[in-house]
Amino acid sequence: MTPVPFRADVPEWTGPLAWGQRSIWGAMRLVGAAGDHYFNFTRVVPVPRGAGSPPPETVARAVAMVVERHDSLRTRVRADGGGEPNQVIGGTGGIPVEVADESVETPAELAERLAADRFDPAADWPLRAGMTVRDGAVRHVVLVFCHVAADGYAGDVVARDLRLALLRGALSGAPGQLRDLVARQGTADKARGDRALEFWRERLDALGGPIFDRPREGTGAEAGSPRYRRAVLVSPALDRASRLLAGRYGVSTSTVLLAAACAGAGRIAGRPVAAMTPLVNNRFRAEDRDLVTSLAQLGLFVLDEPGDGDPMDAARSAALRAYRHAYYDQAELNRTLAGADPLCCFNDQRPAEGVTPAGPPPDAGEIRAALPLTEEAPEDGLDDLNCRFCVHVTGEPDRLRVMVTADTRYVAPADLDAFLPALERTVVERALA
Amino acid sequence: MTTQADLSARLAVMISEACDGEITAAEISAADCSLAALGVTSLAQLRLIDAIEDEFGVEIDLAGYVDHLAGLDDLARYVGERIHR
Repeated sequence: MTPVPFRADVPEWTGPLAWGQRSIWGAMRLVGAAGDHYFNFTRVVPVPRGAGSPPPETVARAVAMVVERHDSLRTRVRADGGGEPNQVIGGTGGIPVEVADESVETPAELAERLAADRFDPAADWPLRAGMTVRDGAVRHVVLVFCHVAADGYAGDVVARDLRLALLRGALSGAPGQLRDLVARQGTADKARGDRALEFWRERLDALGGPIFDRPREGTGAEAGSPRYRRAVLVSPALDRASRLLAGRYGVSTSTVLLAAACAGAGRIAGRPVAAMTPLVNNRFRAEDRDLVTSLAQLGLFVLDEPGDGDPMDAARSAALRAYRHAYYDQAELNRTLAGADPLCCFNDQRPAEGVTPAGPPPDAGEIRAALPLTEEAPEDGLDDLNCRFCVHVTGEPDRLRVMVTADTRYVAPADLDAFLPALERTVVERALA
Repeated sequence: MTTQADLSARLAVMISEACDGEITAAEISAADCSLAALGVTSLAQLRLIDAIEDEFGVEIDLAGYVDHLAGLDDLARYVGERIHR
């Protein structure tokens, strides 16, 4: 790979990690060098028609422009003697870029290959790129991100900037910068972070430990492999029912699914009060919407015992609390909680526009008609994971794909198999009520 | 000193901004239903909570049911009581 030089006109800066960076850095460190490349993610940017047929040198310059624009894309993280991370935002360096022949390797194949190599956060710049070329012109640009530098939203911002740089040959405006975010977290945002810590402390104290806390008999270390089993449901009906409910209650489809998943997990675990930790994007403030960094952090969604009221109203309040308290000093939270964790997580990986319903809501007939189209899909399990129950939502347009991963030492296979059909049933029945 | 009417008008603008302008301040002021029924999503509410904290220094309490986020009048009363304290 040939490095593409960048030169940002700002001084080098050394400081602590921003809160969201610290979260993802900790998660990656837990997985270790053998597996942390799974955190890498990619964006494929087609060269816009208006950019003509640019040669690789022109596109390389556009990539450099984008890197020069955002602190986060020029940062490297190293741990000090005590294991605490620090970062150095550099001014000059080189981003590795690989050029591939599009008739030999598709953009998706190139993205997959480039993302399979880990980033060494201390030595590597957190972005690498690829280009696929046909007839001497670049057709697609592949961006591979180290997750410490960016989350999915930030990836979209970078892809947008690159498109503009290709179209206009320049980028205007002065976006928010990582170094300013770090400064703000030590001052203006600190009180808010402290309130979030207090919320976590109180709620986790009340929960008293992981949601799945009773090991099953005969499932010790000698039990079968893989230890973590998975089930997948692909459901157009769930997509429609969640959109209908989202519109009815003024929440995102993500909140609808989180509420149903949390209640379902609580039922399996035999707990009247259940909790789940959703990944929250933390981009609620106007100035943070286009900030390139990893802002997402875990929230704590606690669903109290159902009362007489509408369960979706309770879920709505619980979701607001969870989303509101997902912005905090991760290192401080780790110290405060000393390992306490519900070990029951929820990650809606759909882009933002997929989560907020648009257009007229589907009607009951559409939901019923979609029910027979639900499919269960096989999915390999895995032997190593730092959670006991994980729900992942992805989706193609028009259908949701929900995957659950459960630790067989705590969750019976029959409960795992029943979880997703029950989730679908709950949401659909609620929508049709 | 901000009057309650000024505060309501300002909050209607802030709610509209939190919804990316999809609901106008006039529609919000004229509504006789909850903000949720008007189409103010939980995402917009979170943006609004941040904006209220930044502008008025008032932290919206999210413990229990969040009735003070139900409608513009509830919100204006809640914020008004806390600014003037």
